[in-house]
Amino acid sequence: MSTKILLGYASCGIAAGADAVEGALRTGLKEHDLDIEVRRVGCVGMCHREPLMEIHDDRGAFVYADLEEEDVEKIISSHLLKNVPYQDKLISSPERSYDYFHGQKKIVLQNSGVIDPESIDEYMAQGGYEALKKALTEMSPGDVIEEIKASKLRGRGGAGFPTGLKWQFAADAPGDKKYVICNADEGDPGAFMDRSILEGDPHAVLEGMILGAYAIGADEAYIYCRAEYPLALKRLDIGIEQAMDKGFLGDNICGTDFSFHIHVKEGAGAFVCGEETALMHSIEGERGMPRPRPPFPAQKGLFGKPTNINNVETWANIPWIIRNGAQEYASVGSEKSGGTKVFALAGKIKRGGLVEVPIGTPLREIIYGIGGGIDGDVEFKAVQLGGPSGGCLPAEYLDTPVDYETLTEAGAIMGSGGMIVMDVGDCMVNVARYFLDFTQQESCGKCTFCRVGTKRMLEILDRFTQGKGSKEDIDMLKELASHIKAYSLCGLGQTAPNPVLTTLRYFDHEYVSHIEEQTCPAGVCRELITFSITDSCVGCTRCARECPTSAIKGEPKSVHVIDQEQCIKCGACQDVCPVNAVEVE
Amino acid sequence: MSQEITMKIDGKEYRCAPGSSVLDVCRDNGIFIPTLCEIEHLPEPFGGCRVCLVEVSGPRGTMITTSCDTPAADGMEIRTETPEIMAGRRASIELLLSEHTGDCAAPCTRECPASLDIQGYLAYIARGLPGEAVKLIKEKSPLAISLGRACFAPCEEECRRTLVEDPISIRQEKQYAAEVDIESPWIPGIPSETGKSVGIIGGGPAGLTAAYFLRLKGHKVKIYDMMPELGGMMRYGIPNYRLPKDLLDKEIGWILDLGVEAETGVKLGTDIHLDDLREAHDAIFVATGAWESWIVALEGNDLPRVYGGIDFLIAHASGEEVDLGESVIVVGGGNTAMDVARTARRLGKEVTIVYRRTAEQAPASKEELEEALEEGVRIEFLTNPEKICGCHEKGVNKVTCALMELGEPDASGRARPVKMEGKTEDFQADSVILAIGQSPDLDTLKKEGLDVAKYTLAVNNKFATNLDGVFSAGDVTLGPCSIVECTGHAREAAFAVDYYLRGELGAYSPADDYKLPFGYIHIDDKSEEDFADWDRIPRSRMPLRPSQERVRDFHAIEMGFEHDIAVKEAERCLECGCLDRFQCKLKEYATFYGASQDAYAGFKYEYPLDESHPHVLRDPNKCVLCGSCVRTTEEHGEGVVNFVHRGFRTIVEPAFGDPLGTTDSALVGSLADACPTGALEEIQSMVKPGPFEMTEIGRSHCPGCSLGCPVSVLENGGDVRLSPVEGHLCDIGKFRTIPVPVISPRGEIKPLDGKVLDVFASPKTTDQEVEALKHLAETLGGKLYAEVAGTPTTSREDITHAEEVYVEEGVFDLCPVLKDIVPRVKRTSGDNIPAVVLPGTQHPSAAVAHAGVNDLDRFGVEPLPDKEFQVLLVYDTQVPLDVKAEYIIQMVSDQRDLSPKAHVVIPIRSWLQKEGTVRNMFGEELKLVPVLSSELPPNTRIIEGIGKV
Repeated sequence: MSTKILLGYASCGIAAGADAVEGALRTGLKEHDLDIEVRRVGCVGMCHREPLMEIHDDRGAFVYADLEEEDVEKIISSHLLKNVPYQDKLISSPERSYDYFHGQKKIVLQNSGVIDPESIDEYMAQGGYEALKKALTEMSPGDVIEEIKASKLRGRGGAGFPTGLKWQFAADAPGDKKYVICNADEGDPGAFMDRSILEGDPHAVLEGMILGAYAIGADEAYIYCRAEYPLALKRLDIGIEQAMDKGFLGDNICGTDFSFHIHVKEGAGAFVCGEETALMHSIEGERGMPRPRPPFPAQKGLFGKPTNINNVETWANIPWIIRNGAQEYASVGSEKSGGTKVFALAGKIKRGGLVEVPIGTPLREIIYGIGGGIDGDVEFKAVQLGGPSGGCLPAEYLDTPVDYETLTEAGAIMGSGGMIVMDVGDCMVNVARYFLDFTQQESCGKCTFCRVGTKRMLEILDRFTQGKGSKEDIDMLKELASHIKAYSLCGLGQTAPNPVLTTLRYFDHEYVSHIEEQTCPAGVCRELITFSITDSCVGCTRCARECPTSAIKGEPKSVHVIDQEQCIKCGACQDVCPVNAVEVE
Repeated sequence: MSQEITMKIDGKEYRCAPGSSVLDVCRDNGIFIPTLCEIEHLPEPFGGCRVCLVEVSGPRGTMITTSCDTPAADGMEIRTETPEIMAGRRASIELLLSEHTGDCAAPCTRECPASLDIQGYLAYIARGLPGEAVKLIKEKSPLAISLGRACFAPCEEECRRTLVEDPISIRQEKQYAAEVDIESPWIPGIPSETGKSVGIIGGGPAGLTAAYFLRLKGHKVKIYDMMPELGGMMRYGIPNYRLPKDLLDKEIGWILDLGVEAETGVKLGTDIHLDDLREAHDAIFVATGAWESWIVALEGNDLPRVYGGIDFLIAHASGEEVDLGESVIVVGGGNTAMDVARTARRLGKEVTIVYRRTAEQAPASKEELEEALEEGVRIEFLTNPEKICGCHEKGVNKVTCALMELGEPDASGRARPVKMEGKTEDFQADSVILAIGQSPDLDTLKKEGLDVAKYTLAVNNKFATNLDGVFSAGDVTLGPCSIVECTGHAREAAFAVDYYLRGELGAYSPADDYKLPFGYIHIDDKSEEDFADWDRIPRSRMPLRPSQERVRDFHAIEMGFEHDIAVKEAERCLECGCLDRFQCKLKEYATFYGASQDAYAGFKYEYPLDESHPHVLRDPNKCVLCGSCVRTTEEHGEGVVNFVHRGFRTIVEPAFGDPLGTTDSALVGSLADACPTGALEEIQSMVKPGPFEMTEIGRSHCPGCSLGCPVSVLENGGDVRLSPVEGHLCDIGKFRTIPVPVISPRGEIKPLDGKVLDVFASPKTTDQEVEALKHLAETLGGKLYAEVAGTPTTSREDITHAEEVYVEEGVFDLCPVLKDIVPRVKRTSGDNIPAVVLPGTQHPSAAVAHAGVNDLDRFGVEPLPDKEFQVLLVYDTQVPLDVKAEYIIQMVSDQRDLSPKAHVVIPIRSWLQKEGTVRNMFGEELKLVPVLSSELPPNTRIIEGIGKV
């Protein structure tokens, strides 16, 4: 086997400096006259260690992480020229694999970080488009739907509706013209699963959509992808063109009379456009505002035609299911829900990034196993699941298997897969406020409860974080939350109170502290805390220089003092103090 | 699909067609569901306002959800009135109220204890309609004259005009209107008799008010009063110089004229008893007032020539002489003290008022204080009587008073007067009148079996006493107060009695009227800065008789406003209240559900008013984002307004934030029609638009263009407005078709002497007028000319169902509403005739659009030729600019069509006044209905008349 080098070249890698690393690599190889294939691949999931380089040689795979330009020459001279792995940046080798991947199961991300996403041949070399050929030659549309039903695949966009059933509705809807839509309007703060899939394995999504179109009888599709994902958009365009060239897309696919065209529609980034009816309005050129359902898209969707809409991750599962069979897929995951789920693991975690685990994996395994536990080994406080529509679960839920039902029962949701880990330094009132602020600003403004109700809830939370809340405010907060949940028009409003409700449920005492004692136990809410400098100050003057309001006084080499009148509690002093002499009360 | 659906609503079974929403079914069956965003004729629900909540039980369980977007399904069970639903609807409305800013009723009205529509009656006065003003006042109180003379006018304290310079003279304006009305007073009609009777004990402001409103409900009413004459404190407590009794007599007379019986000189507990009255009547209304003077525990208060204030006034009003000696000390600082002092002055006495607080703290009005001083009354402030000196034989000779200074604030927030240690002053006096308060005669009430509270008769929130069928209002339950408070209170109590008599007292809840604190910016929220741009116009002051003269008699001191002054003063009104108050759905629902403006009070954006459009005012502060205007403009195929921004910042505005006035749409008025609040409101041409409740006086067809849309004609006080009967009405119809009447003829028709007369007729002309005109022209050797358009060869039906419709340039400018009728448009250009053409046949069927409703081609008219006419009769239109004629006669119904070229102008009936038929661009025959009356003969007769000259 000849040596080849895989270079992480998704948005995360590029942001971490993959370009410079690649430049150094190509120059170095040339200088040393080495004829080794360098392949740009998608995200392998370890975003926290990018830029990443994986060298495959006869011995197996060696992963180098946290690369900087100057590391490249050392890797070339050591690994490539002398066959001695360069230990300083080596995190995984055939003898000692990185435990980040222990417990993960790659279905959706199987090709991500492995193949060149801009090469259809590499996709096909991994078995790509075999599923399509199989479906077109061996399966009727009904068979495909039955297969998806049997796989127990549920929508990965958040609500978890059984995908096969949804397809069945669209297939059964009368009408010659039907549409398929891929929802790539990933908008949760901190979520990047869909982007990574599109960047790392666009053909999986395209093949999934073609299969779906075949199953329901659609001939046209839209991929609604936010304009902030330029790399994903580029790779989709390339992928569509390649698939057209190969005859997997366009008229008479694979020589059959099945024809199918995919358009890419760029969204302007409104969160609410992730809601399916708003998304369709946006494609139609209208303002992205949800409309009442029924009629559901399966009956009356895009341009009034029956439409099936699934999100990126759902589509990416389809080829695997058809290729490997529903039984195989259903055997992964839980009883009611087959397969895996990709999570974007972030927050106060040692190893953040993309993880793909079988549905039903306990939270503890994801956070402490794959994620390596809490950053700085402080105490875990909560994990926020499902983005702004989700909820915060406390430590007693760590052994909860991650499943649609169990999470909903606990007050959170699976959502699209955001997983934010919080430690004792996080204020739960402030966390709730943060998410509500997000949904409030992203409300489309159409329905009363969402537009005005969330604003009034936010104002109450604002009062809490400023120490101005009252017990009556808690009652009003709960009343508003229940009205908004029950009476809002779309999912955005119906789920917007979740972060507030779960924090009220599990972290009630933090609210009580804010209201009754006007204190923020986590030391986060600025109006409720004071910064002071302890005697351990060495008088380095860095804080005084950093302070934007010149509130810190003191002679060099003597203990400094903060003028509380002038202090705006920005925390800059704490960040720069070399001896941790700045305290928060 | 065609299977009929059976469902249950509130326990009753209903059937409907598939595809109906739950809201549709409720509405079709008259079940009330509130909604702000539903537009009945649009198929898709909007689902924005979330007010139309109902409880739905179906296969998916029971839940509360919106009815507009819930499809009716077989076996479904709906409940529309559970407490949870009400709470949900109220929450939705309260959230909307929390972002809805603006005055609803004006501050003056909100402050008025009788809820008089002050902005409304000032507007009528400004428009020169004092009679209408009185009618509006009498919707709330029959005591227009008494209030005009003697109200303490708390409204003026809240008047926003104070922030410009001074408040409007509201009471004086009311006085003007009420006294102008005396000449031909407005008397309300009585509905059919109910056969129930009410006995009212006490004929003062409360009793008279109750009598009036109960009589207007058709009940028999009898007043029992202990005094020789009706009027209560208005007669016996308020001196004649403030409220002349001849005027009061008139006001009381009009109430009695409604068929109210009265028996005077009978006192409860002495001459009549509650038990007997309860036997004689179906309900009793106790309005016995507060006639007992308070006598303070003051040494010497039992001396001769020490009187109670109200006792003194009653005695005087009854013609009794009271022994006052030469000098009088009046104790007190309220209006009664002033009345007592000024009455004593008029009796030629030296009068000194002693009051323990300061002038600023005195409850008497500033005007009264000033007038008393002008009349020579001495007033000693910060002076408190400690002892009345004298002996039982000779009576009072002096009063020793402690001198006071202001100390710490007391419970009422006023600085408490405290004695200056050791400082007293003696005032020589022959008599002392203690005008410090009065109270109801509770002993009598108790003896009659009524429960009493500490100082008043006890009633519950439905004005009911402990005895079944016995109600009460006014001073006896409120404690001593003013006419306006009593009349407002008694009106509400009368409604409670009416509910009781109908056996529905349980359903009665006191009407909050305009008192709900929604949409209301209190005067404190506005400052002088907000009104900096207004011209300063000083308040008109009431002319008074000179003080030296008036102190000699008891005649009225106020001389009244002249007409011009009254109009000018009324024009100062800032019109704070919302013009859409009577149409506002948000107000209606907020009232119905008892929603509070402050329930979810929080941040609001403040937007400037958009006054750029000539006919529609845009006030984003009142927008509830129901989307009705957005969907209406979309329905027209236009995009005049749309949603912008997200979250709480979301707003509906014209594209790019441009002013509304920059749109070239001719369908902006229909957006105001669609708006459920005052966010888009029609600007009215009137000087002062009210607002008033408009009533439909008839229906006809708009003559503005060849569509002839059906219109509903609304009227109030001579102000006419049009609203669509179904669908929409364009701005031509809404704002340009209401004629400005032509007042008088001009010139004289000379005999034609054999000259040829030709006629040029407007397409507003009816078939009957055309026939007459044609006959006239032919008789006189001429011809009938008109703009030639073309006769339709298609129907409305064809056009709505056509696969494609071609529309010429300019058609939508002539007939804007056509945009709603033509669903699929292809524009062409080429021919000169604006036409709607249906493709698909060799001879295309077409409808021809034109200005003016009637298709005159049927009568073989020709276009006006370019020639010199001898005599040209121009009928109901403008004289064509370049026409050449020796002599032009213009018959015209709209002032705006008048031309200086016309030698003779003959007014004719306008389209709102005439009868006849026209045929529109689809060949449909429409009947014009004379909705407004006219003194002119029918137009055809005028035309015939010309032929006879």
